[in-house]
Amino acid sequence: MIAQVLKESRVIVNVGSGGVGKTTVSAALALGAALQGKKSLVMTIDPARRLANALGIESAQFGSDRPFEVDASRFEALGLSCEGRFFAMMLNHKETFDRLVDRYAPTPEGAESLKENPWYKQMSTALAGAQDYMAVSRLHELVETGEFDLIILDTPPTANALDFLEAPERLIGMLNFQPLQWFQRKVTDDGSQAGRLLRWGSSSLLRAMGRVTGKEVIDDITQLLQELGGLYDGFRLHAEQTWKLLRAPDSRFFMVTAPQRASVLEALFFQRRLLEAKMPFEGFWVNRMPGYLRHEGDWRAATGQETSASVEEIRSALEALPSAVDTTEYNAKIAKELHSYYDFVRHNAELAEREVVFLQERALGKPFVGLLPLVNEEIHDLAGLARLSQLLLQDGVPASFEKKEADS
Amino acid sequence: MLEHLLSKQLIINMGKGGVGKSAISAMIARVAASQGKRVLVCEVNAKERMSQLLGGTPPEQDDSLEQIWTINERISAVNIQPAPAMKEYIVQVLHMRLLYNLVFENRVMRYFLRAVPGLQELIFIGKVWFHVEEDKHKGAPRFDLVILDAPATGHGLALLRIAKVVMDTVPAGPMRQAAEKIQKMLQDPKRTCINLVSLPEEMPTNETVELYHKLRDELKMPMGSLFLNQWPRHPLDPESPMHPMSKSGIEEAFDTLRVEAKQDPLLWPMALAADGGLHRLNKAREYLLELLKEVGLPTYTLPRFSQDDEHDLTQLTASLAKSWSQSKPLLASDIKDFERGEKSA
Repeated sequence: MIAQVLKESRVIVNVGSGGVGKTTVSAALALGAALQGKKSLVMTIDPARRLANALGIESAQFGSDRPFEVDASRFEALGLSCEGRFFAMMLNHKETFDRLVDRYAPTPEGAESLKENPWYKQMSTALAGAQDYMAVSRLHELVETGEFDLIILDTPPTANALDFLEAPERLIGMLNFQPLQWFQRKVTDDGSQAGRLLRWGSSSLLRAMGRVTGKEVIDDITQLLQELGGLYDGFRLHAEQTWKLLRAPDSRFFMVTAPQRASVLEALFFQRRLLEAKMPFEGFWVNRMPGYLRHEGDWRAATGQETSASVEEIRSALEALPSAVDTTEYNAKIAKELHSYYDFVRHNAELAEREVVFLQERALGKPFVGLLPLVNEEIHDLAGLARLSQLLLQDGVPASFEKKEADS
Repeated sequence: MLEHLLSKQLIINMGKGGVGKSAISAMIARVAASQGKRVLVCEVNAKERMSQLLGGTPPEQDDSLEQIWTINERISAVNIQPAPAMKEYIVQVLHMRLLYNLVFENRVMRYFLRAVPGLQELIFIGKVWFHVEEDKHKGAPRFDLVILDAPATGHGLALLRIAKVVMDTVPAGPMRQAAEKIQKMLQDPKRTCINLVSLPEEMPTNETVELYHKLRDELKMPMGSLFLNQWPRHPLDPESPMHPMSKSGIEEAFDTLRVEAKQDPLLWPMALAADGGLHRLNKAREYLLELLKEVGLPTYTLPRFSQDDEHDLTQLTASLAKSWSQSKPLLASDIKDFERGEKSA
């Protein structure tokens, strides 16, 4: 199923709260597409340094807002045949914002003056929603170039999952609100009754706001807003195209989540929001499922074997081992702890599975739910990423050993 | 260590999203309350968590000025929201109710104020400042301790940075005056301390080191402790890892038999589970070591607990608070012992 999705899509957007491994899943999906012969790109916000290193991309290049190719020789070294090409890049919001200003400001002088406004710098980096707007803008730019078969966007971590959907419209709205147009028109005193009223209205409004923020701030902001106002048409057009792109038939949204109640509830909430916004929602990845891959590459064997051994049996088994330490006291203790830790691990796996069921029961429609294992090593090299890609291409790992038992 | 932390008027808990800042905030609030302090926990424009963590039912969202709700006799909470916070600032701090009613009730004006870069952050942190300073009766503070459960890294930093940005950008006026007062409070080591919350994993560790340098070197904020959540359980010896650096005898004994144990059909799944657990614990120790070296704040490790239907979160924070209040932090000076592998409980 995922192999098919990777074949058919042009854009995949991965959303989810922080700390669920969204970046790794995004990179592995892009790599999976490349292994299948596509020219793919993963766009990320703030990857772990080791992941950047793993992809063989210098951090200076990575921060430059441009795609960099993972060298084909790195695949050969791993014995992987990569039919396609694999690129990665890290977003740089300021550069994207600057480029948009250059592109949409009415004049080059206007663009320069805007970029020099002390509040502009604040805005392009700190303004709530600017990050999200920039991420989708950059995505749009890169899709426009037609250079890639598939682009995977790892969305910025947000305090509130809604930011990603609302922020761009908020940013656009800010550029288009009524009082701003008063400032832009610089109400002139044409002597008419209406003109005088309007002038009085806008200046008393400014005075009132000045009492809250201070007059200097109002002057600076007024200027900033005047200049930004010139960008409105361009920004709006750009945003509209971007949203059209996200809703296109060859775009897909995946929600990445962890098998914990808080994370699952957020994922469900966000699925509803995506559907309300008419975004093409494809499914969920539940990442870091415990109980799998306890031993690298060998989850099936590790979880398929059920043991109902008692502490006493385990102790005898330990003593029967040729090189077991010759301390019965230790063996007894180890036996007890092995037993109780195994129960603990199984209990955690069961809890996680319950969360998956909870998710499946409450998700709207019958979306895809793929499970990805909790691994001992965090993924930090191309080989690890390639292993995850293989799992992704198989739609994740099967459901639990408990379930398998019940089924068989 | 605990006394040092609880003697402050303002504690700010910072960290990446999903590392358990809210749980730590709730835990500190409980311990402070158990010592007789009146505590206010501030969340910022977030999905309210304190009712789950501390018990109680939050009030319906309304537009009234009083957004604070009482959890119990000593602990109150507030979820700072943009619009009510703005109103409070204008009416209570600037004493301009008429102005508010005339101009700011207007939806369009609210919009404008949201567009002023940084104003929202300034109002948020300004509200925190207001509660730290707030008097109930003359001279008697309403709260002994205010705990700010900061938003995730980027938004949290914006909150702590805004006062300085305003001071650098705005020469005079009410915004600047407010910023000066806020900055003074934030940088006063007698009144304020900033804790970091993280996990013993790769990304959170890197981000914590970066965050620490930004807070200490760039923003010159007084730093408190580091809380490492989700410390993995020791697979073989739940008694010994009270000290998260110790390598116990039982683990060494296991070392000698793990190879054979993995070939024994009976022991095999268990040996694998234990091996995986030991592996994770050793990784966690590496990150702890890195954090002690790079950050060096007094560090508390807190166990991972599963949040499920069977366990009430309120009970979990209560037991977490109890074990924390009796524990000792790890210090940078423990590194040597750790490297020799000799540190024990």
